[in-house]
Parts: sequence; structure tokens; C-alpha cells
Amino acid sequence: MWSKKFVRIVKFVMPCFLLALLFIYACPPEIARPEKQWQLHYPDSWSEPVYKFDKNNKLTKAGFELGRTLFYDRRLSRNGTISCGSCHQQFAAFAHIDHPTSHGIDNKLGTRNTPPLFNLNWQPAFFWDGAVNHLEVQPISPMQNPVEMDETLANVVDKVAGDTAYKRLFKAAYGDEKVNSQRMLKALAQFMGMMVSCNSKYDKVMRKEIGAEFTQSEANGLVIFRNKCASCHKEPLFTDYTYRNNGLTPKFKTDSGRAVITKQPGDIYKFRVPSLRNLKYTWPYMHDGRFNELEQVLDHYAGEKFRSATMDPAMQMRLYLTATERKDLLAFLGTLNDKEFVKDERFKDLTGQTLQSDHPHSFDKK
Amino acid sequence: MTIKWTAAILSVCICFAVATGVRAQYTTNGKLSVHVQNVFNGAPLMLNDRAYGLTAGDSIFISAYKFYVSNIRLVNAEGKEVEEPESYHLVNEARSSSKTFDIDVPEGRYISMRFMIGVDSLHNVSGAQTDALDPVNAMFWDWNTGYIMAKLEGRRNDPEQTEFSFHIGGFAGANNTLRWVTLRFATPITIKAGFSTEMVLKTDVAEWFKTPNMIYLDKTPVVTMEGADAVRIADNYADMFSLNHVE
Repeated sequence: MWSKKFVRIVKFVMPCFLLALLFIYACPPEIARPEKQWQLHYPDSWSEPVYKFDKNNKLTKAGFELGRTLFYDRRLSRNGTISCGSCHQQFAAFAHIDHPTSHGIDNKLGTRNTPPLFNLNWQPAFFWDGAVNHLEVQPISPMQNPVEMDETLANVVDKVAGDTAYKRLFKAAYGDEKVNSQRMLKALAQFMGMMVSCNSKYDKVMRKEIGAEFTQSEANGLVIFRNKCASCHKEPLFTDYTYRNNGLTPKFKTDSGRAVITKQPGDIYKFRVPSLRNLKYTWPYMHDGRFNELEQVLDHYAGEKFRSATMDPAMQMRLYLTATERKDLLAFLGTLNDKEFVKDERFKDLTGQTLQSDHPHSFDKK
Repeated sequence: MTIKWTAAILSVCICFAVATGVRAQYTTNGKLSVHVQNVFNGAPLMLNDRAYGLTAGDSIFISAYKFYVSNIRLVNAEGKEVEEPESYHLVNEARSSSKTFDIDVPEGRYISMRFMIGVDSLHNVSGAQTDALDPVNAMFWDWNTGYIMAKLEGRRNDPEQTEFSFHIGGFAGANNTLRWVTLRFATPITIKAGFSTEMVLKTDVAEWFKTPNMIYLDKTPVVTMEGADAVRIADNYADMFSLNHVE
């Protein structure tokens, strides 16, 4: 009897409790919500991204557009000549085509090949040596690098804050015109993070889309790939994001790769395993851009390596392929090119429109 | 019936009590006003103009001195800690405004304080930060992500005026340069709502160069990346703090 009564009381009291709680907690301070959140789209079969557009950095159209404007704004460099987009060109899947190493400010050359930009939200660390541990702080490095944009982050913030066109963009993205490095960097992360390349023929075949089918040669190539390459170039992103020495003869002897960061002798000459997506657009290849042709890359794996203590064990064996197998493998790699990505209108340089009119002469339209 | 209603009203009351209790916490805070005073072997630190002798025989001029104080906690007699939320302070000798900062502290009697020299590992891996942690403060490594926990730059007082530069950073594993500092108050301090308690927090830069590790500037003039030298210097400056004065 008592227990029944108790249950009845609880049944009555619980909603009261919840109602009261609701009353207290349902009145958070007014938060400006400039617009609905955008979504990051990627195939169901992919893992969750490392970098998520959550409450830390809500993806919005205005945030993305602010990031895009910053990405293509050459004034961010010391003398107004180099933007992120100067060396990360969309038609080259945001790499620098035909440049083993890119020329930055004053035509200064670096020592490493400009990496392409796509699927960055899945990448745990950035640069060939994994120097940077977070997508948001990645852009600081090229901005401040003396052979790239050679500008201090503080000056970049000042330039942007002093531009009336940016005031509009910051207000649209964040609800007010305040400019700081965090807002800039998060907007850049939105723009770069949206660069998802997942519409290659390979992707469509994997999604079993109607009409998507490998040729016999491509299908054979996939089998070869899975046997001989996939241990490092892991599907579906075609890299396992490890650092390995693939037996290249050091070109820049002073560049010890991953060891620059870790200071470990065991990491000398190791570089991040790059994705094999979009190879057609991202030549030349390797961390120092030494090979213009994929054939040369295969020649390297088929040939004698530069043997040093840190050479990857997988490189001990030469890659043996018959002429047909080689043709098939190249055919398969060709299915990883994502034409829709390199032509995606959203990533195009529109700074001429977004930064127009306020300072007609301060921004030199491409 | 009566029990039902009593319980219902009681539950609503409890909720309101909880809510107002949260609010009440904010209204019973007092202030702790921290004034940082930097010295070299007891002598006031003056940038650029004054030479300071080192135990190792050298004499130096100092041109820049910056460090982070973070995760400040006050400890009461029962050993309970209260932590300042978002506790990141960048002290820059060249910017006098950075040498005074106020902390909101709940009313109570406290016997000691704890804080970290540097920026905790979590904030070294969390992307773009703001305010004291804004990378525009030039206390951030863009080429190997991480905060510079403390920075000391200057030149040797020799004919060549050789420059030295210590950027101490590294937040993980054997390279970890984060150091906790615990300071006991000579007499317990009382924080009262509506009142400000003043505290002088002293650092002695001479500690960077000695105990437990002698630093010889002819051998180690530049430490600007993580590693064993940075750890040795962090071990040195871990005990550079003292409380001069609390009122």
C-alpha cells in the first residue's frame, strides 16, 4: 500500500521537478544565431573526421565565405603578392602544379612540395613532417614563414581589421565586426575543412552508384593496389597519416623530415605518407617534388633505394610489376581523380566581388 | 494528497534553491589582486640598460622577459582548491599593464596558492585560442605547434655583445616544460566579498641560469625549441617565484 502510494507520489513529483528544471535552464542568454548551420558531407563509409565543425567552430555559409576571402587575399602577405591560393590552386586540387617547391614572397623557394588540400578534417597533423597539430593553427605557419608570406600574424590581423569590406564579412559570420586571429583562423578552417574530395570514380563505384563501374584494367589495378600499396596508402583516404622513409636519396640533405619535429634519430628522412587522390592534378610528386610523372614514382619503387637506417621495411623489397600490371595500377590510380572537386564553384576565388569597392586600389584583382 | 502537494512544492523550492545558489556563488566573490615584480638576484629588473652578473661569471643585459602563469588555484585550510576559470595570464616585463591582474576568488581563508608556469597541454592541442593565448602574442610556435611557456632574451656584456635567446616550450613526454609552483602564505589570507586583497608575486630571473642546472651562455646561447636544454632551464626557473607581500 505504502509503496503504491510512493510510486504515485514519485509519478507526480517527477514532472514537477522536470518542469522546474526546464524553467531554470531553458532561459540561456540570447545568443546571436546569424544563420542555420551548414553540414559537412562525406561518404557513410568514412570514419568520423578528426576535426569536427561542432560548437567549437560552427560551420556557416558566412564563415565559409569569410574563410574563402582570406584564403585568396594576397594582402595577407608582407608585400601583398602572395595569398594561400597562390600556391594552393583549385585546378591543382589546391597544390602547386609543375612546381617541385613553390616560390613564395620575392620568388624565394622553400624546400618542400606544396601539399594539396582536401579531406583535411581527417588529417591528424599537417605539413610533410607533422609540424602542426590542429587545422585551425595551420595557416599561421605559411603566413609567418619568411619564404612564403613573410608576415606576422599580428600584422595580418591589423590589416584585416582595418579593411571595411572585412567588417561586413565578419559581421555576417560572427554577428559583430570584431576581428581577431581566432575568428580568422576558424573561418579559414571552415573554408579548408569543406574541401572534401569524395566524388572520384572510385568513390562512385564504392557507393555503387548507377553507371559507375571499373573497367577490367582498373579493377585489376585495384587488386594490385591492395596487395602492394594499401599498407601505407590506406583506403578510403589513401594514406594512413604515418611518417615513413621511402628510400629516396635525400635532395635537401639538411631536411631530415619528421626528425625536425621529434628530434629522434629514428625519424630522420621520414615524411608523411601523402594521399593518392587527385594525382592527375597534383604533380610533381614526393615531398620535394622530384618526380613529374607517376611512371617515375613507380620506377622508384621498382628500383634500388637509398638505404639508410630509417628506411621503411616495406621498401626492402622492390615493387615488381609486369608491364600490364603497371598499366592496370596506373588505370586504377586514375579513378581517384575527382574532377567535381577541382571544379567546385564554392571554392573559386571570388575576392574580386567580396572585397570590392571599399578600397578599389588596395586589392589587386587577379 | 497533502504529501503529494508538499513534495511537489518542495521539489520546486529545491530547484530554485539550487539555481539561486549558483547565482549566490558569484555574489560572494572577493578579489585577489596580483602584482608581479621581476628581479635579478634581488635587484629590480630593468630591460636593456642594466647589466646583471651571473654565477657562471658572465654578465648580461636582458631585453625581453615574458612568461605564462596559468591554472591558478587557491587552497584553503581543509585542502580544498578553488580554481580561477579560464586562468591564463601572460606577464610581459615590457608591458606594465600585464604585471597586474585580478582574480575573482570565493570568500574564505586560504593558506596557499598553486599555478602553472606555461600553458597546459590541452590548450597546446586545441587550435586557435584568444586573449592571453592568442598566437599574435608571439608566444606560439607556428613551425611545431605549441606555446612558448616562458621567454628570456638579451645579450652578453662582452665585446661582441653576443645575443642569447631562451624560448622555453614543449608540453609532452620527456620534453614537457610545464612546471607547477606552490606557494604557502606566511599567514593565511582572507578573501572578503567587496574587498580586494593585494599580493606581490616575485620572480627572480637569476634562477633561469642556476640550480639545479648551471647554464653557460658561451655553450648554450640559444634554446628556441623543445628538448633537453629547454627542460633543464624549466627545471631552473621552476623555483623562481616567491611571495613578497600580501595584504
